[in-house]
Amino acid sequence: MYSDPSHFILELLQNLDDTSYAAGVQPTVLFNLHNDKLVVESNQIGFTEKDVDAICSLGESSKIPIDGVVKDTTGEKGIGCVLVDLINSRFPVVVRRRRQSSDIFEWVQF
Amino acid sequence: MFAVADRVQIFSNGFNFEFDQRKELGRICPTILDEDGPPNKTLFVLFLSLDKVGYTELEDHLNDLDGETLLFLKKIRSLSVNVNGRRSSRSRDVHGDVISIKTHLPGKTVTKEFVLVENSSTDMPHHEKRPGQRTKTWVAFPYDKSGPIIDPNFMYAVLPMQKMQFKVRNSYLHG
Repeated sequence: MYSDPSHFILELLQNLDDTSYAAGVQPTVLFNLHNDKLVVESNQIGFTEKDVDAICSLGESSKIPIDGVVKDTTGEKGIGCVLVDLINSRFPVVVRRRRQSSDIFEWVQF
Repeated sequence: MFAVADRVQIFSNGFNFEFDQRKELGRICPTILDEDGPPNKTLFVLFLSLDKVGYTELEDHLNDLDGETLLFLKKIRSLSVNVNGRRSSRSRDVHGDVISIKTHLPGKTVTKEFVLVENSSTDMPHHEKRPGQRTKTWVAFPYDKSGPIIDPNFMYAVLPMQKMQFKVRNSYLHG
């Protein structure tokens, strides 16, 4: 995921757009790249305890939770990869074909 | 974020912690940091683990971030970039149905103007994420003093996806 850096930047931008900003604040994002350090700064209201809980359970995902909920996403990407990270070995992926539910295929990572 | 960085630090609202994927379970178990971030800011600090090609791509992408990216974002109105000392910024202003996108690059400022047209649809196919089968579409038409600018432009689903171009009939342009 996000092997294309441009994709990663845009995803982060969209997530920052989904967070809350105080009234009267012009929502602003700053990307500051200096050698091997990229600092992404925003003037959003900031994390709540629930947000911290959420980001710790979705460690891989760049989706930033709002009030503990990851909103407006096309998939909670974090979960799958955290599991892969935990298992850290071969894992089966089972997919059921849509129309013929009796056909089940299994892929094993190699 | 872990595809581009080994270590990610987060400073927000007094919560200061980091993930380090080189540690066991480091992607999900945070380490609390003693240092504090700046007040009223949320910071993500990424310690990049990109190879040379990836790093150059990232530099190029940040330098080339299009001001038009701000066109359809819901809240963000200003975007600044500092790539190893090269600074640029983009901002968005709205006056009625006209959106101005200003891009400040070293030594020059470029302003682009767009007329925003909104369309509501109420007969979209059913989808759980689309209550009431309603959706809104916005089109931002670029123009300058001489009239409409007929160029390919990005199509957005909040963020840019791919370029497309409207065809404008000659009879319309020339009356």
